[in-house]
Amino acid sequence: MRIETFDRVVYEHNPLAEVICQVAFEPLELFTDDNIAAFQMAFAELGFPHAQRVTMSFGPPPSAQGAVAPGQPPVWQQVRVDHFVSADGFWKVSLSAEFIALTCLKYAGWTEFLPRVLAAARALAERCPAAVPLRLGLRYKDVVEREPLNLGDTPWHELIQPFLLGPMAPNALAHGQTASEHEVESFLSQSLLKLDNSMVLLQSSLLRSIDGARRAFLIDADFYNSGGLESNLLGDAELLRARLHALHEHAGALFRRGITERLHNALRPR
Amino acid sequence: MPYALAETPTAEVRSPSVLGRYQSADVRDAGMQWVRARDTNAEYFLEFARGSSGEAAEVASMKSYRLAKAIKKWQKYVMNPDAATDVDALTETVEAVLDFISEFGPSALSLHSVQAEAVQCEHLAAALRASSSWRGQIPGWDLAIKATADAARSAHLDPEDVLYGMI
Repeated sequence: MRIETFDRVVYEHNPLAEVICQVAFEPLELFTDDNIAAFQMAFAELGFPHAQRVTMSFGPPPSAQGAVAPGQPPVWQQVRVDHFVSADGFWKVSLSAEFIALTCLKYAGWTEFLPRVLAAARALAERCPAAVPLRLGLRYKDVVEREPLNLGDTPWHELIQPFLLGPMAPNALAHGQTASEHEVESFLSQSLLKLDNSMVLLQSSLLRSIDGARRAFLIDADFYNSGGLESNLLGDAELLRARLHALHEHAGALFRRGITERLHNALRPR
Repeated sequence: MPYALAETPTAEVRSPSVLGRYQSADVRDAGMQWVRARDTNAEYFLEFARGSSGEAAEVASMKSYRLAKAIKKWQKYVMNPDAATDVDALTETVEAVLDFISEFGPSALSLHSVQAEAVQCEHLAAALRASSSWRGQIPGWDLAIKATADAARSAHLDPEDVLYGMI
């Protein structure tokens, strides 16, 4: 499967809320105090001086607890992630025994993002040369808000293409009918698709602001390769750059394919 | 298997503008569902995937789903007294048990709830044999030996044959 190509544009009203690059690898014995201190110093030098640790427990959901007898405590496991955050709070490297990720909350462009990914990967490879990469993902979360575009009352089907709208698309449930967004309490769609040189986990959703006053539309595309990754991917910048470039190529095209000409123009392409 | 959600789970997404934060329905807790088809009686997972993330909550929820799926997988034949006992089926049980231990560790493979009347003894014996290296770390492993022997007797099989080398 392929995505129609478009000339890449940068929007004046950039809808990108988050961009995440993650490399997952076979579990490492990372979390000795010495190791984490070394990573903290390395990431501080790269511009991520603030360290935070998050530990979460998880167990099987209620529907799968058949293996736990009545009266027996459920089985719990732990996930631990160390975050290294930039001074402005917009960039974050996250490190666990199974992945390293870079998250950007104020994405301005690939030329700013890519060098940080490469630097974080190099820092990991230098300290854990045995890390065997399993999955490389590049995820873009676009949040389309109408108010800043003076499109506050515009129905979503005039802005978003039907393949992302599900039952909100015109004529979906009845001929000649288009559901009002007030009739849609929630909407979430998820597809996992095989593209020519990667997979994409594509999600779209109608969002509601925390105060309940506004709606926005999420287009969330996670392009990834899993299996068959080069064992030296983390330490070989050119290899990683080439793989990321291929994933990156899809991203702008998918977003452009998912929106209408009207929204494209309202976002003000430069 | 019916599965009811007490409330719609939500996920938060940041706004790229200054307008604030948004919430969406979330696949996080809906990703554990499966359904049985009427004609074939086959079970199908309702697949939801998690994307690239650096967040512990998202990783934990993904692992929770994988844990649920892995439990279902190793129990597929073990918890079905009428399960086929050909080589392919027994191999599937052994591989599912080893995969489970590899990903979640032996202590997560709880065998406390195993009841003789609800298991297929040869599959449970295969699971026990595959996991015997970790017997001290698997809750209920020794109890499951007894359940296997009881299930074998109920099926008119010799427990010593079924559990050969383990008792």
